Amino acid sequence: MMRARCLSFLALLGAGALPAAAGDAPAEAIEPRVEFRFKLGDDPRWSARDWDDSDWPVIGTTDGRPRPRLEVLPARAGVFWMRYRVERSTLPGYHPGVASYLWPRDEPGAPINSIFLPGTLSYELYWDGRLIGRAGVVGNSRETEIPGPLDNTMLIPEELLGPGPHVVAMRASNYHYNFPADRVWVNLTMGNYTSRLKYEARRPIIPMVGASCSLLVAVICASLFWFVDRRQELVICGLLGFMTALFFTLIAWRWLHQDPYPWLYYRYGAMLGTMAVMGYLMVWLLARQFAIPHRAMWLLGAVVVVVVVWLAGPSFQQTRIVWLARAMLAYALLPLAWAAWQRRAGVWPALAGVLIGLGSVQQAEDMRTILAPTFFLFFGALVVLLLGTLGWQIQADRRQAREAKLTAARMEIELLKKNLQPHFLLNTLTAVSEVIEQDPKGAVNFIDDLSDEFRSLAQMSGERLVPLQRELELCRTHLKVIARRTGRRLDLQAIGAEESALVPPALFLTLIENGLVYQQADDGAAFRLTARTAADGMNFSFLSPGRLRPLAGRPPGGTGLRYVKARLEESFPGRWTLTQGEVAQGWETIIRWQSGPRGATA
Amino acid sequence: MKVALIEDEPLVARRLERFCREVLGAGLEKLHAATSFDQASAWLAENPVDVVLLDLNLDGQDGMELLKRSVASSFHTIIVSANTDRALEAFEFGVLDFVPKPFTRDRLAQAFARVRGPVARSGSATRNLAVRKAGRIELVAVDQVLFVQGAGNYSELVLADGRRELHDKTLEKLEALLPEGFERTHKSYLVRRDAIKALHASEGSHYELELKNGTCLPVGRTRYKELRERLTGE
Repeated sequence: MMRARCLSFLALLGAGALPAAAGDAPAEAIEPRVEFRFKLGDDPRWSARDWDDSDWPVIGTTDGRPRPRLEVLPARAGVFWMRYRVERSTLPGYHPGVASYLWPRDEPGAPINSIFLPGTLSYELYWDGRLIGRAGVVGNSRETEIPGPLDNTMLIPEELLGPGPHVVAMRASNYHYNFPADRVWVNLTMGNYTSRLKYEARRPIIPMVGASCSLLVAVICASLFWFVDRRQELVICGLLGFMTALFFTLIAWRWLHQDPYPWLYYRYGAMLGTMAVMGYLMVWLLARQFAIPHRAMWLLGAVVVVVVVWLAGPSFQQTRIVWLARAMLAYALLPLAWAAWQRRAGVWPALAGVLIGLGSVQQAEDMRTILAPTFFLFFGALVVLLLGTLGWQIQADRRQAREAKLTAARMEIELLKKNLQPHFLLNTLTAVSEVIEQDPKGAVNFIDDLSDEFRSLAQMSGERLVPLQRELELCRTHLKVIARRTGRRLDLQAIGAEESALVPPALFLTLIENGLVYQQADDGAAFRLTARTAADGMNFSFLSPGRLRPLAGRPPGGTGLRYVKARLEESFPGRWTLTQGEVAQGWETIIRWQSGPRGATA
Repeated sequence: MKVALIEDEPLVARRLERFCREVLGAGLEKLHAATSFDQASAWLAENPVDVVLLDLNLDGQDGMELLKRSVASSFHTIIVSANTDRALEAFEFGVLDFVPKPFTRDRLAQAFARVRGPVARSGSATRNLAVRKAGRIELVAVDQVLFVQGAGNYSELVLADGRRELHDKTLEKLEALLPEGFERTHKSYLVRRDAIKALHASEGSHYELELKNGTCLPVGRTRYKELRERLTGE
């Protein structure tokens, strides 16, 4: 704990927008009672120690409360004075909140020799009638007032620190106060000058660490996008990291640069805007990362949340930032819950990150301390978790891509094997041998058909998808070859087939081969392919005519069916279904696939 | 010779039939063509044959099941198949020959020669003998067989553990299938050579051999000398 003793005075001059110095709240009631008196007007004599201010209105007292209730006073109303009396022996204890866990305490016995005064006003500060410091230039109009810096630590000269009581007087004006509220507040605390300076100097460290980490996330995302994987999620995550870094920087900015007090309004505005963009990017990232359907609707919802909070949120701007964070985190839970329900890979770390963020916002009871730098580190944790999830997904996708390459190579070999499939090839050659000897002319036609089939298969072997027209030609050529071999009349009917539609090669050829093996069809029966183009993909129904052969049955995972499924997975990963069953006319295979994005369910 | 062929492709069946007629000529007593094993079985039940030409890839049927059913029968089985990768397995089950597709007349003639030859051993590949038992087919490891005793149109396999199993094939047909390690010691016996302990000659040209398990089996008078030479290596 920083052992500085202070008198905390919240001269709440409105529902204004001055952030509290985090953790500057007194720990106990102030005894004896200290009264804060206020007077509109200007008279240099009012700084005097013995000036009679008993007729000045009391705008607040310590009165047993750490934060005295204060009278309402107008902003931008002119020059005003405030006076109070203080004794060193009555100074309250002091604790610096969360920072006490991070920063060393004061040395015991360090002198109380400074007043810390953050405020959106220009002022002169008097100690027992002597000017000890000023912030800007107090003026009686907007033109004559020069805004002072937001945070000031005034050193009380050693010779003035005798036994009390002492009188503190402040002459102030706030014509450049640019928040819409008509009241402002200031926070007066006393403590050791050196400790206070150290404390103030250390305060930007945490948000700058947060900014650095977030920026690092952005750089990592950019590198991954540039060198590894050109996926939009990395761009969004990088932007989110960048915006988080900007948010941390805006927090740290207060201690990095002695802003004139009117800048505070714009800084809070920038923070609010940054938070809105962060929330939107977070929802966008989650929606893409976990392939949430109706993405546009979710994003529109995020915009609505931002607008509603912006318009209907609390008038305190710093509180509105927190409300926005709450609203966006809570909103992000909806698509995440859906993704968790759908068992999307990597959803749990993301969900944990959002819950941690939401939990930490809910824990922030004191709105004045909500912008403490440590609190927003949770946003950094959230961004890091999201990046981690993204990285995991990239790794999984790359593994899948490698497997897909292997599968593609295997599929090519499988297709080529269909050319060389011993049972088909050697039986066909045996039949050809017989035809050559018995019917040389017919043998030439037989060989022509066989050549056509082999040529088609060879051409298709290296392709992942072929036009349906080519597939149908291949099937019909195969049926011609089989018909020559077996003497059976075989045909293929294609209904509603859009011949330019792309299908995996030899998909229906394999179903025909299976049909010939497992179905006992009457002579002249026809295979039937019914195709239907759906809004998001294709639907096929393939009928192998005839009865199931009694001894064989349909094996659930025959070689042909494995080939078909592997081809579908290769071309439409995770977005296809295949169902089979016996129907009145034969055996029906229904295949559906979606042409949608990766990860959507079939 | 009586032949049945089981082939579901008409052109191939036609070719087999043509070659059978050309190779066997007048020796072909009967030829029956069927497109499935079940179809053929019904006919075979009424019409015993010497050899069946069998395609292992009949439409939709389990080739191994067909093979087991075929080799358990009384006739010899010659496989005519495109699946040469199953040839070794087929021989282990006791087929007489495996003719790969596409085939020539000469190759088929070679297969028939094994059927017609006096004791045409198909080699030492046979590892199992399929026996019918209670309506199903069981495999008996050749290594377990001590000796085979002829019983008319059947044979009786006597196993090392004392069990006896009936086989539908004649002793002659089994002799053609079993490895070289089996000796025809008698018109009614085929004996595993390494199971023989001693060869005894009694008065009156009565010969017998003693197995290591103590069983004594008769030895044919005409086979004694040759057997003794083989056992003693002289």
